[in-house]
Amino acid sequence: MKIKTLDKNGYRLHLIKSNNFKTISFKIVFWNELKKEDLAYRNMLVNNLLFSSHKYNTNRKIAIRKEELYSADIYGKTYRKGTQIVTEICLSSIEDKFAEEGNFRESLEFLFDCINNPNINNGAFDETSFNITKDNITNSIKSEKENPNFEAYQKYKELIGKDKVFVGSILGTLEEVENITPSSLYEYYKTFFDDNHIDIYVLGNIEEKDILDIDKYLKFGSNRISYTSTYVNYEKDYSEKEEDSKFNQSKLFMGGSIKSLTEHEKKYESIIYNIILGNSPTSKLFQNIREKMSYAYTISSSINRLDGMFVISAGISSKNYESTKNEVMNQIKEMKQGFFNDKDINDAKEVILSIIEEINDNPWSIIDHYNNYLYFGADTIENQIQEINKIQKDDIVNVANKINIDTVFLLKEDEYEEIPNQ
Amino acid sequence: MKKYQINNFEENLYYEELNNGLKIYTVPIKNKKQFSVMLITRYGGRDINFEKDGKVYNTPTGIAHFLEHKMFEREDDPFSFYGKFGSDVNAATSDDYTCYYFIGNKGLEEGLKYLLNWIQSLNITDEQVEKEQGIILEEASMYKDNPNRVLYNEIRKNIYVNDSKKNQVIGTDDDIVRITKKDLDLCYNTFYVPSNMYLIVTGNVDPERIIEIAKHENKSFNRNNINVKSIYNNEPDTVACEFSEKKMNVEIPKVAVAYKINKDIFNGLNITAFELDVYLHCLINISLGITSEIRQKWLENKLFNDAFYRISEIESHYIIEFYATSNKEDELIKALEEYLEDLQIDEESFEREKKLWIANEIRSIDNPMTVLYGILDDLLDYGNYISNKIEYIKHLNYKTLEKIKKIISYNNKTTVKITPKKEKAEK
Repeated sequence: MKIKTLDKNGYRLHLIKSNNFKTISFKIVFWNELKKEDLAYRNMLVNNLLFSSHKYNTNRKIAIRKEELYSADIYGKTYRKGTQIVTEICLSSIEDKFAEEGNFRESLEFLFDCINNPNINNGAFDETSFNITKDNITNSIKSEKENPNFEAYQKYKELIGKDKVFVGSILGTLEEVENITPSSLYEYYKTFFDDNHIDIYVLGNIEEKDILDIDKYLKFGSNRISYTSTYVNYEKDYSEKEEDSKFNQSKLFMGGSIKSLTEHEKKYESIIYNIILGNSPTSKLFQNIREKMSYAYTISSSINRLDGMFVISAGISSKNYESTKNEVMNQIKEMKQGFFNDKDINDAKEVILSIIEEINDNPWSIIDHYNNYLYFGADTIENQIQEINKIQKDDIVNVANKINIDTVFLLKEDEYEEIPNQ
Repeated sequence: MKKYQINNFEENLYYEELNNGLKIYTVPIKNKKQFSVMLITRYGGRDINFEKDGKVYNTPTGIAHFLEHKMFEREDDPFSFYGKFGSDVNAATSDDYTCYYFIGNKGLEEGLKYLLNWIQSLNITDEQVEKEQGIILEEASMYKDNPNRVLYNEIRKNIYVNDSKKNQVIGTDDDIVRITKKDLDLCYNTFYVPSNMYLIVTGNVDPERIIEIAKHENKSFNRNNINVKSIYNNEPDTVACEFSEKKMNVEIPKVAVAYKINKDIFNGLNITAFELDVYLHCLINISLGITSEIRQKWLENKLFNDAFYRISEIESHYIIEFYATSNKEDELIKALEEYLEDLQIDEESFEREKKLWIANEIRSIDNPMTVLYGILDDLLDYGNYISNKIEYIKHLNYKTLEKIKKIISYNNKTTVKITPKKEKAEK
């Protein structure tokens, strides 16, 4: 696999040559510092660009064109990475030799046509398509409340601080979406490209000379090259909260800040700590709270270095709340005291090594890793393997002693209504 | 060992049946580090009534799933064993099968040996069975909060009159707590037998070594079930219940409509089960899918936000299910009813649809787990693996599709609605 990065006018082009796949993967990444008021517009924009275009002016026509191109897989998504907001537009196209001559090129032209020539009438996005996408996003925001895990995690994060960048839906608020109009979205479209860093990734069995002319499709480009820190940091005093819900099962979230960890610890030692404590079926939380006590079907911990956050979540009955919480606290204490053995450490290392070693099996994970390497402080695959192998027990105990629970939230099950057995 | 080329790709499938009846399917995929290994027994949530040596047994719902949980109860814990290699090990139970699998890139041979021995015995105590009840009840409780899952379960409950597919795989809460060690031992000894099992291995693997190891580890695994028969009661064309509604914690109503279609109506067509499956999917996808005119119209009239369909089957019937999130659910159901009278299809869309199927074949070969599930689905649906699907697809013809459209009538149906719970009174 050969990787080449070219600084082009207004964007960076990354070419990754690989013969391991029968598809060509193409991704445009727009990213910028997250501003909450920007989220609703970003989502609406990407959804509208890919829903219909000037040439294919209904969603049906777009869908037909994709099928003609051997079901060209085109989608957009917006997500947060620490303090940064990332919007991707992706294309996965069957390589010409398995489809037909020109399939990739035509797919690419179709994609750029959607981006460059949106469905605009009289200086505004086409109202019919606009209204459908608006409705879809509005309903997606409403549906988030149907998911007990999502709901409980949001409320947990609000407890850390309502103003924090990680609080709230990535889709924006209902009011914000409601306030967007076809013409205000068009105004946003006109400045969107200047305001973002732009990276383009191409991966597959394709020669450099066959892709370099994509300049001609790019009617956009930004000159942004500087960017600010991608990390969220917070500190808070211990707090605990319970809230009622209409769900069947209670959701427990408890966690803490990882602000006091070094950069290296956030990338490596804490990952091993997390797996031993709660991120595998042999972990201390799974073995004790699920297997020994039978309190939960799901219990796991996770760590997010960009959010500076460590969190444990479990689905339980509220009658077991106090005992579950105490046992979690107890396991966290045992980690500090070094109550885990060499097998736990080696197994945890193998889990991570497995994931790292399989990055090259999937085109999107190759691209994501390279993107993380360039902009989000990730090391090369080789260095990651080395650093993981170096970790000793003392390093993990050291990390354990810097991690404390500062926030506990329980979304309680509905005690008032018995759901009849089916 | 038999070898079959997969479509016109460079990948091949290797097949062997061992003397004890275990069937092995393996596909090496070049340039991958990862492998996927799965052992499947054709025993699932649906097999609660069976006949063994002339005696009929009626077991509690949820028992296959409960047994899957208890298979992990071993002195050399599977999680701990596979953990050594950083492999991901897990199991799952569906209506028709239970599977045990591991995915990773190290320790393939050790892992395979372990897996093959793992399913050859069950040693559990009454206490261990009792302990599992709490865990499974929490799992069931989690599912009750998932509106899509509840909708799907309601559809099954309404559509099937006799077939045990009307039950959920996880079982009822009452049944979960009455399952005993004796029940589990009986079902284990009845259904965990090599002639009822498949081994599928894909990715970074050597077929000869896989078969060699499987032979060696199966030397003394000779349990059989020649006198066992699952009882799937005769299923009528009518549905058990035509309408039901549930209140849940949803913001927007969800609705599903399902149609029950007797397979006998397709007898005169002279096509394979695989071809019939593709035609049926084409019929629904062309007439109601993302490229159909009617969908565009319904979208513009805000009849739904999100919609999808699925086609499932039992021995005697196909079930065509439509699901939607909609604020105008009654209007949508009415519109669908009317449209089903004369589904709109055309030859151009049919040719495009073929491209879509071919593209799926090409994409799937890049991922070991997708290849594995592709093989398993074929085995469950058609009894054997179809290696040249692209050839089949290219030869499908529009005339047959038109015939199929005409044959089907949508008379036997059920409707399920999930609507928002009322606000709880303030405490």
